[in-house]
Amino acid sequence: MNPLPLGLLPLSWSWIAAAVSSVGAVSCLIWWLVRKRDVRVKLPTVRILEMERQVLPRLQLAPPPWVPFLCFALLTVLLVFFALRPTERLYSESDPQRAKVHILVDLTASVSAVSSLEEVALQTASIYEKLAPLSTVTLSHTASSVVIKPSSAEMVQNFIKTEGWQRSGARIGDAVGDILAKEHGLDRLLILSDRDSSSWGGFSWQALQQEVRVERLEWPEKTSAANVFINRVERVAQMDTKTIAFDIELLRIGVSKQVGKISGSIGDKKLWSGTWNLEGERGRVVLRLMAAKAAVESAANELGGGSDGKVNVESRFSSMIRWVVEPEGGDSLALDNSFYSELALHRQKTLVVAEAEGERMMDDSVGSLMVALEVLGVNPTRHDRPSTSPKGEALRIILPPLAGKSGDKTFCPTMHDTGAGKEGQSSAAKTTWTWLAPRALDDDFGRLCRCLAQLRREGDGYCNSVTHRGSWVGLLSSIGGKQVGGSLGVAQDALAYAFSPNVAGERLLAFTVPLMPIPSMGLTHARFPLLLRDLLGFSGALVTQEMSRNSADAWPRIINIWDLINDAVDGRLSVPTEKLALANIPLGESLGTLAETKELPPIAEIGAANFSQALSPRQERETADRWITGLICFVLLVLGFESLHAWRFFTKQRQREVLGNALFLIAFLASAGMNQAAAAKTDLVQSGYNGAAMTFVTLAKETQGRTSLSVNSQPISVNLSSTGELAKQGWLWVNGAESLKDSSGALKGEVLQWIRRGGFLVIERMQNREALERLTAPLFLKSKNPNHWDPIPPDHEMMRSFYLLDSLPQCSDSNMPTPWYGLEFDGRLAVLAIPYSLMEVVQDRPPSGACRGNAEIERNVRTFINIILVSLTMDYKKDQIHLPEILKRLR
Amino acid sequence: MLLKDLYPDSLDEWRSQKARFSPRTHGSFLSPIRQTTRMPAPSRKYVHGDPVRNIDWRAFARTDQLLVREQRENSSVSVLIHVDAQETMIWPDISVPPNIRMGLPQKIDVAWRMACHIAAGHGRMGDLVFICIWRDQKKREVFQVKSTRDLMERFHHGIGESENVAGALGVEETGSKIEKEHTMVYWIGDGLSAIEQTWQSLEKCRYGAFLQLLSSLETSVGWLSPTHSYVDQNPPRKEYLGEALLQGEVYQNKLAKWQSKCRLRCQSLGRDFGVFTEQTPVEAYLRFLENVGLATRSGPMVRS
Repeated sequence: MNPLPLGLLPLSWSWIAAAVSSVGAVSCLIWWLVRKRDVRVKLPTVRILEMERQVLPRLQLAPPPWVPFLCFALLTVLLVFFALRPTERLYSESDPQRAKVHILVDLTASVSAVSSLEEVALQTASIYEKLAPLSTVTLSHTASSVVIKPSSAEMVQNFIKTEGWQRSGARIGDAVGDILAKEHGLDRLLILSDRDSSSWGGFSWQALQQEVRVERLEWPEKTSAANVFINRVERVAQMDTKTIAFDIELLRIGVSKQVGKISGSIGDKKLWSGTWNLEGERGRVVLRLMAAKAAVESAANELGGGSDGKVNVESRFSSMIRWVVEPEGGDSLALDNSFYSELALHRQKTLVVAEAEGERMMDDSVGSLMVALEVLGVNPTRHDRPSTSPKGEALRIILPPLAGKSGDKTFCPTMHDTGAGKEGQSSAAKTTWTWLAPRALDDDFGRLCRCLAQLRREGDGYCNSVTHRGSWVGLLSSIGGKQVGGSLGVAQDALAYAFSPNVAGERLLAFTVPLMPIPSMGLTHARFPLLLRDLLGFSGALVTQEMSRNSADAWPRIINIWDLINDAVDGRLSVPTEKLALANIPLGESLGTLAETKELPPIAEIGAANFSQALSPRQERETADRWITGLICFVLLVLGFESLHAWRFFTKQRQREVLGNALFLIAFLASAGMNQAAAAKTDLVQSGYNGAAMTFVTLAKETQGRTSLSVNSQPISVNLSSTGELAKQGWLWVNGAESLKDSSGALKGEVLQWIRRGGFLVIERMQNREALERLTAPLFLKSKNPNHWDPIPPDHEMMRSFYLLDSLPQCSDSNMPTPWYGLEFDGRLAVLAIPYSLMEVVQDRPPSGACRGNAEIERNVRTFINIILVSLTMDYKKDQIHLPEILKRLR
Repeated sequence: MLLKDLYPDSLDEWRSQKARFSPRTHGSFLSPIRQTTRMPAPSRKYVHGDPVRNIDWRAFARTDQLLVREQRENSSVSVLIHVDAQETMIWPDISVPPNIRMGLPQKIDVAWRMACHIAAGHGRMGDLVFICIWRDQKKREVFQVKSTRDLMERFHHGIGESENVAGALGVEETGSKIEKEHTMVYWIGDGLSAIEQTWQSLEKCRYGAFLQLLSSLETSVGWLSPTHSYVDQNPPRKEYLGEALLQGEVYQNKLAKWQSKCRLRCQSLGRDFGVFTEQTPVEAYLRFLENVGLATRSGPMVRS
């Protein structure tokens, strides 16, 4: 074995090494220091001695047992040595053909200020031609994560030209990270970019030097010409309904005087125009441009193909305004001379469906609502009955008549009858709202519930238990409503509950209070219109000033496209591609701030003579393998010596002491070896699932990470006909009720017996309430309690056993919320019916369908955790109530 | 036989021993009353001052020598035996290494044997015997030896357990008894703790003896270790390294000097002084007692 070339041994001193060496030195010293054995012997005759007193030493130096001490000292030295992180440099010969080079082209707007796209493409192709004979070249740009391996210079040019300049910003660091994740073993990374600080920001290229050699290609500097660009466009909220005005903020970078024109157009129609003057030191000016509203709407309608005098919002691009700045003397960056903003015309018509309660206005509780709607300018129209020929209203407010008036069936429409979700219209961009509100606080909420069921085109079985406002609120949250207004988490304070849009884009807002001033509740006549304005804004029926202000900002202005790319779901960006192409230039690109050269990677010398050799240098790698091998050998040697020493000590000296220590060590190692995690795992007991490959590794990990519970990732299946097999389980998940039924359609005797003994049954894909009641009827044969399935109320323990849920997940392809039902038996939740298969959603490889987004899976996991806690602890906050049940399980 | 094996022997001969000296009186001392007798045994030469009526004129006629024939009856006296049971007497204790301490009785144990032995001897002779146990310089326990059984019970109870020396058998707190003048006083102790009380007690009596009892570990230094320290806990607390004690035989010299001082003090008081250890032969001990007049009357009192 050749001696190690210590000259090639790099050592890096660190605080750890310093600490280790200090501790080691102190330990070695302590080993020598022996506290004097304080052997004191009483000797009474000492009393008669008259001698000078002596200070008795407490510590003394004594030689330690040499073998253990030397072993310790050597190991300490070794530890210090390894704390210095010794490595050895290994070299391998270069191989130009195996070198891998990647070229990253920056296509952000700032680059366009210094060169044209053609120049960039040519330059890239030229570099490629130089590198191709020497190495394997790959290519990508900052606009997307596509990496190509070009075969010719033409291919390189086409790749650049096809993409064109990107209007979104991009961080080179993120792009490089993406490349390194895809392309392994890169030798050199060449970045073709200007020195724009917004692109280079946050890129710590020095950290990559161990992995790849990062260099940039020399690029011409930015010219000193001024740059004028639109920084912000803001719609002006105004009382004048005949014009539409915008405030445009223009910024100028540079000191030269600039004048020019500005125009705003929808499609080809130039509707707004003006001039601007940025003189001297003034670098900012705000212009207000106005255009006739009729002309604007006409232009928008022509572009969007809308009808009935309303802006067609089917395509949001029809409501896009293109603002163009035209400096007379030209400016350095042309891309940011165009700016896009939303037109933000959303004024809608509103239909109020409410029977008149009297001839006089004071007799009619809807009067205040109508007045408020008129004041707010949403053009309310009142009908006594739902219109059979809808006028395309974006908002319908349905106020069912008070009890004793007309029947519900004739009054309440279905969602499709509202006309809002008329067939043939695209559902992508259009969202219409239906408000359902009681007429009075003491209204018949059961009637309201039936109206709700009819609107949702589903059975009204769950309305039987709705008699007052409290039960109405509970029902709304249990069928998937999201609380609107009130205190967070306090369901009873909710003003209304909003439901997710159905496939037709219709949304429902069910109120828990009447839409009228109620001074006793703090809703005065003065505050009522304000509340209504907020609700209209929430429903999109009214453009508030704040919304108008934000509408321009709603147009994408992407600082870093890689944030979107990294967050993309299934390769789809959160911003449509078309919109991305028209994104506004980020401020950082327009400002054109240059990064310091010393902060950027070095410039690649492609033309240099030794570039070929430098391209693929001698491979250099640091390794500590040999040192680690040596360490292991040495430790084994030391252990051998120690063992010999211990054996000698054992055989010749204190056998009992050594034996005791050895036994302790053996006991310790044995206990450590046998120390397993508590085996209290919860099995996922299933029946009726045909997915043998159903696994729940992720779910088990999540549950274990969030709670103190351990769930087996492999579900177990039970035979429902076997009483003994089922009796061992605490809970059971069943896919559909078919496997539970006997010939009469009721639960099998074994299952009934199991539930009576404390079993917790979860039936998935079950939403037929009558079928559920038939299923569990035998449970209540001898019971005084009714066999009553109720929707899970919002204050149920399942909504708060671990996570505080505001509603239960609704996963169905129809997007029509359905309630979760629960059956109380023996004072506890004994059977739970879920309208869909939660097991499928939370399994490791869920099939495609509803509830596949991360947010939905998270909701389902949280719900699962709540269910498992309910099944194991029931209502642990009031567990004294369930103590008999717990005892029953324990027995 | 050594002192550590001393036993208050022949206690069952208590009454016969009493009767052996005189059919009428008993005691360990001769009565000062002299009586004329015709028996030849107690004859001696006339000394000036002897009563003339005690002269055996017939013998003078035969031998032309003035012989006095007189006899003195035995007399019962009060004997007080002090036993020093202070902390210095409770030694060797557990601070002494076990391999050295092994088999050695504590000083209080030997002292108790000696006290019981002396008490038994005087009891046999019909004396009034008190034993005073000094727990510390202020606390003392005094009891009167009333019978052989009483003494034996106390002896057996106290042997081996220093704190039980006469303690658990109902010590009479007869403080007044110790205050009165006793004819004979024995002080058995090491003289380390209550030396002033020793001298005071010995001063008050007509006859007395100081039996200084030390452990053989105190009189010899062969067991001292140079690395250990030897300490006396009593203030002023003293602690010396064994090395210092052994150097130049400092310890032995100091001890001899101290014992010499004690002897001189006893001599000045006219009292007997003897140094004993648990290794002292019983014969030597009895010889000492003879000097104070006890052994000659009671004979050997050691269980053979």
